[in-house]
Amino acid sequence: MAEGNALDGDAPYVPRQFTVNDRTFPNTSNDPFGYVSIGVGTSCYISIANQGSMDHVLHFHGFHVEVLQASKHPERVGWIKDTMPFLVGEVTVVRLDAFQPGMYPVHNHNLIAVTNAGLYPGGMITHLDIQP
Amino acid sequence: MYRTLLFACSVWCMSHAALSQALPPQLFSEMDGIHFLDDGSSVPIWGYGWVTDGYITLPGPLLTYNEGQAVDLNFTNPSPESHTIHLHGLDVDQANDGVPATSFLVPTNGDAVYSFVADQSGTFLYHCHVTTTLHLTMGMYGMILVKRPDQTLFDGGPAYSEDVPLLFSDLEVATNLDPVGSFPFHDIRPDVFMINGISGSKLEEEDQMVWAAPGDTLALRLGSMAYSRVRCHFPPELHATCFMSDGRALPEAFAVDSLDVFPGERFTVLVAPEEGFDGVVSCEFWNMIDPGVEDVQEIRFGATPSSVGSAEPFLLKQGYPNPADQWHAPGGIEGGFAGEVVVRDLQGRECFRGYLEGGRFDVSSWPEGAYVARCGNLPPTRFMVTH
Repeated sequence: MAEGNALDGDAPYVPRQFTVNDRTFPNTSNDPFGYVSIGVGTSCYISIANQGSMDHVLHFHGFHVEVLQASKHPERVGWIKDTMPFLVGEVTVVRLDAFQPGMYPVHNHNLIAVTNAGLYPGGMITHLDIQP
Repeated sequence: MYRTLLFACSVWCMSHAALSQALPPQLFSEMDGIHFLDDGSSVPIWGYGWVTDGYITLPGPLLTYNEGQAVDLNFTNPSPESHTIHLHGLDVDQANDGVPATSFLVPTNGDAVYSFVADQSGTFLYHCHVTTTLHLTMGMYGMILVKRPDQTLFDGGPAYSEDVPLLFSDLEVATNLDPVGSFPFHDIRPDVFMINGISGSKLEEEDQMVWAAPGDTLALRLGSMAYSRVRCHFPPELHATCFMSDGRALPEAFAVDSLDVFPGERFTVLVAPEEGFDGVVSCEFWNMIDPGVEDVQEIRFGATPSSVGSAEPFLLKQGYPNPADQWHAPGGIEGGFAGEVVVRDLQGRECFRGYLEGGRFDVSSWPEGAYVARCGNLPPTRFMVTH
């Protein structure tokens, strides 16, 4: 574009940046709006929306979560999962029961999306901070 | 032409002390493997193997535990770079999570023990969590099965006859050929698509097929370490029912004709093939970025007595350390060793068992290729036979 070239509508989609709450790792983990922080023995609801242009799949370390709502996978309500897809435009709510303390990554398991402009680690990685 | 191969005493003795504590099953990682593709070409791989086997495979060995078992997974890393084992889905504590930043790295020549309780039956995965995008596509992953002694899927769940582990993965040949130059990682676009590390015509070979006797109920343990979404199509003759996902029972089992397995997901699907069923479960590998089918691989079913085919695909000895940078011994090496030596070939077949006479034995009649020699509990030694 900077060179004045025309846009090629047939060019393959090659995303280079992947964000959680508008942040890329490591900023996700440095900003209280980028990660989940709760006390051990408590529960929380986590709402996840895929506003991107490709499907994503999130993996929770340390925990399974219960699917309470999944707008494009209604059959999955009640499933207990540690890895789940989020289709383009999907809105999901899960419940996390924080039974053990520690720092646990939550990240995209489509591993091209845990990079910043091609560098690992980056992109769609954040974490659960389960306080003792 | 006559060539002899001799064992250097110093090599055996040097590692004796290190091995004396390695008697429980221990995984190791290496970065010098080769993996043969369907067209006969080979690509470099990194991966895991059992120390007692001495070679790595793609995927790594299938780890099987009993529900409730307290597991100490021993790991050693003789490879040139740091690695870990992340126990994907087992909900282990932070210390054993295998993430470098929050757990620990296993550096070159380092050992580690991952301790956890396999408290839920089901299908799980393991993989290296160092520079995951690269180390995974290079082959550092495998499947974990946690089973119940009563051969039911879960407490109160259905009984079944046999486990069929089916691990989907893919790789980009260009990345494996040049892992250091593979930057940027978001550009990885797989071009080899695999089930249990193999694809194409190799999946049609008898030892890779799924055999079902009349009345058998097989538990397909589907898991994905791919960069693609895998859509499996189950023909109606299989009467496929999905009971579990990610190591948990589903609230309600459901009959399934097609199923999407995203990267990192697992499903347990019970199939009860109709008598004489001779067909396939076709698996489409969909590009996650530009949706479209990149490739289709097929899981082939056959009907025979249940004694044929044990559905142990991970036992196939395919991945292999590159023997060229171990012992390439055209002229022989001086030395000797007194214990019984067992030599196996690339396929894991035993080629020699016995004692060396005068510290050497004759390999002149052996086919050219790579072999692994083991002696007692000493670390395995790899060597090439050339003529």
